Amino acid sequence: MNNNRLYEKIELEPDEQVITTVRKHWFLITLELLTIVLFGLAPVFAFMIVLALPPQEIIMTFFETQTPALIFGIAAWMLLSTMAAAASWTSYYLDLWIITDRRIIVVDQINFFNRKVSHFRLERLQDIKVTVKGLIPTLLNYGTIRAQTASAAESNFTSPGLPDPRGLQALIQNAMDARLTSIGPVSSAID
Amino acid sequence: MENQFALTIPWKTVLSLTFYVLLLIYAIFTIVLLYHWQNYSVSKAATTQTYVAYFTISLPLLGLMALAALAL
Repeated sequence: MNNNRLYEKIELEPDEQVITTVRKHWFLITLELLTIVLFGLAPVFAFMIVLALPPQEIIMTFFETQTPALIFGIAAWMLLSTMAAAASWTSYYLDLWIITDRRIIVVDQINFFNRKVSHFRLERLQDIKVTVKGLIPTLLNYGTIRAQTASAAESNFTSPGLPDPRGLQALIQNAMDARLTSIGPVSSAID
Repeated sequence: MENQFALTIPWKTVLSLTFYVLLLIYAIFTIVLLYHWQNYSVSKAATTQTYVAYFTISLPLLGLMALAALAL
């Protein structure tokens, strides 16, 4: 993997290796985009329903005289829906977990003007909890990961909607163990 | 009491004004969107695909709106 190219926007320490990157589960963004698409197509569905009904003079006259306004209204509605979809996709894609052999980097893109990047050192992680709650999360295997750090300077972190949370928990645990082995018990105790 | 100062704005003017307002909103939104993808994306391919999808859908809609508001 060419880390320099992929992670040029996120500064890694010298010799730091990226183990994996994780985004929220595909089902969450699919559901969100599907809702926006259905919402965006609502005027088209309404138009089809009106056309399927027995023709009424008032409606037909309105369609004939206000055609540009109708076209404009539908196009504007769909444009606003496209912008909403773009915002959702951006928030999903730029929201990211990067697990390296030294840290977990959590990029939280809440919306366009609310972005948080946190770093948690593996040797300071104390506890990782996984919660899979509900029918769909259980069937599709996604859930919430909560991690507790030993440092007072670093806050605990919670991230919902992550795919394969138990696998991720095991991966972080292994990376933690490897990190603690590599730096030795004395320095981990001091940190 | 009858309102003697009632203002009648032609329908076409309303459409034109709405179009320019939406055009401004679209332009600002697009600048913010491009800024985020340019600065925070970690994949060039995903960035390109997002741009292509966004402009392929939004530009024809904007053209249709311009046609309806200004030309028809």
